[in-house]
Parts: sequence; structure tokens; C-alpha cells
Amino acid sequence: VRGGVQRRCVDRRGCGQGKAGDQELQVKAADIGVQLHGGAGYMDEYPISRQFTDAKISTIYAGSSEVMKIIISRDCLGADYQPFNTRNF
Amino acid sequence: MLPRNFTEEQQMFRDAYRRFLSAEIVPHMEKWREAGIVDREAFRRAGEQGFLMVWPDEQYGGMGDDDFRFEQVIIEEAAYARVGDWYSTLHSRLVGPYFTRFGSPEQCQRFLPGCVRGESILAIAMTEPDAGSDLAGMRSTAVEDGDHWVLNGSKTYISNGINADIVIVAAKTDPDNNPHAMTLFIVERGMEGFERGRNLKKMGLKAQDTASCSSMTSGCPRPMYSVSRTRDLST
Repeated sequence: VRGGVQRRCVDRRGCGQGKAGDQELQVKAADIGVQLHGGAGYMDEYPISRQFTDAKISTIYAGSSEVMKIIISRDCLGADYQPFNTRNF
Repeated sequence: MLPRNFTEEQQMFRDAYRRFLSAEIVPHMEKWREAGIVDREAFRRAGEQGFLMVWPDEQYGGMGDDDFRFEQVIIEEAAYARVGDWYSTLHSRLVGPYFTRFGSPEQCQRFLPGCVRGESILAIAMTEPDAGSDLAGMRSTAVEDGDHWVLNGSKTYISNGINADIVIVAAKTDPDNNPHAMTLFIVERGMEGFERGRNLKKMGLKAQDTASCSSMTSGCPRPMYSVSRTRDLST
């Protein structure tokens, strides 16, 4: 995806994959970072704790990972496909 | 891992931006986190040195280079300096391009130079108390009333919500007949009826001010573009 960004030719699926994949990875990496530090990693004075809480918003804002999955699924399954979660509640 | 591929200019930009962060942002960060908001002065400093918005054309004060790798450098360096809550990308790359993509040249000329200089700070209001990821469910409406528009509704989780001078607000313009007819409106600081809520306390990004605005009724905002493409409102 990054290669595509640099060539300026990313499609909808690529954007969705990039947004969801990168942000999930960020949260996962920060999670491992906290775990690695043990109790210290849970303390405010250790920057990793902040990096973890800062990271968590990224899978939510600007189109959550779930919305990215809808975008990817539409691209894979065609425009007619109606995901179950787009029904009107 | 893909090879990292930056031009010489971008490498120099990285060095300069790293120096900027360590001089102007990092020393104040703890104070800003406690205050829950970044000082407006930081935006002005960044704008002064050309770090705030790189991509706008030179006529608007930018460098006229919309290569995303400049923003990549900015994001990477902010992460490296652990100042994720200095979230300048929201201003420059999330909200800024709405002007050039959907706005008229007149609107770009009027608003962009101030944004590039960091004098007016941008925010976007999409999320509502009852509509988050499901944007089609938003309830804010905009109706034309003579020579101006009247916005009605409430928005929440507006990043930069306290600092913002210009808020791009999404609203439905034909809620009865076409639920997909959405228009973006430019709402400026001080417009009548546009009330900001308190600065919301969050799990992370402590220095990033996030606010709600409740019961917004705002006169004479400038529409940018109708998403439905039924009407081009960018005049």
C-alpha cells in the first residue's frame, strides 16, 4: 500500500486495507510494548503507557476498522452486496 | 520491509522538522497535556516556518508540493518525538484539502492562506451523538433561508474543537427526499448560534482538544459542495 501511495495509485480496497491494517498493527505493537515493560509500562511516567492509549483511537477515528472492512468487502464482492450491518436500525 | 524512499529535499525537511519539534513542541507538551489543549501559538510557529501545510499552492502560501511523503515525515517525526497529541495532520491533511477538493477558488483564496500561516485552525464536525461510523444516519440539517443557510443539529467528538476557527460541518440538505444529499458547510468562529461545548476528557491524546457542540443553529454558513451532486453549492 505504501508503494502505491508513493506512486499515487491506491484504489479503495488499498486505502481500506492500509487504514485498517496499519492502525490495528499500531495498537498491537503498543500493546506488546506495554506488556514488555510489565507494571512499569502501566505507569504514566513511562511513555509506552501513553503511546498505548494514544494508539487506541486510531482504529476508531476517520472510519473505524469495521467500516474499512465494509469498504474492502464491497470492493471484493461488488457494489450490489449489502453488508448485514448497513441495515437500518 | 519496503525500501524507504525519500528525496533529498524531504530528508532536509525531516531534519528541520525534528529540530522544530524539539524546540517548539516537546518542551511544552507536558503543560499542554495538563491543560488538555495545545497552545494556539504552536500552530502559528509551525505555520511561520512552513511546517503546517506543505501542499497548498504557492499562491496560498504553501510550497505547492502535494507529495504525501512530506506528511509521512511529519507523522513519523511526531511519533518518534512521542508528541502524537500535536496532531497537525488533522489541520493540514484531513481538513485542509476539503477547500481545494470541494471549495471554490474564491473560498481557497479566502481561507487557505490563514490556515497555512497557522492563524486559523481547522476542524471537522461529522460525528453526532447518534451517528458515528454510520454517517448516513446523521440528523443535522441545513435549509436555505433567503440568502443564507441555517444549520440545525448537534455534533460531537470534534478534534481541535476548542482551538478551531473554521469548522467544516456536514449536514443533510434534503433529508425528506434524499438521505444521501449531504453538504459540507464552512462555519467560522463567532458565527451566531454556533456554541462549543466543554473540552472532553479522553483516554489518550491528552493535549488534543476535542469538543462537542450542542444544539447548533447557525446562520449564513458558506456551503462547499453537495455530496449528492444534485446541486453544486460552491458559490
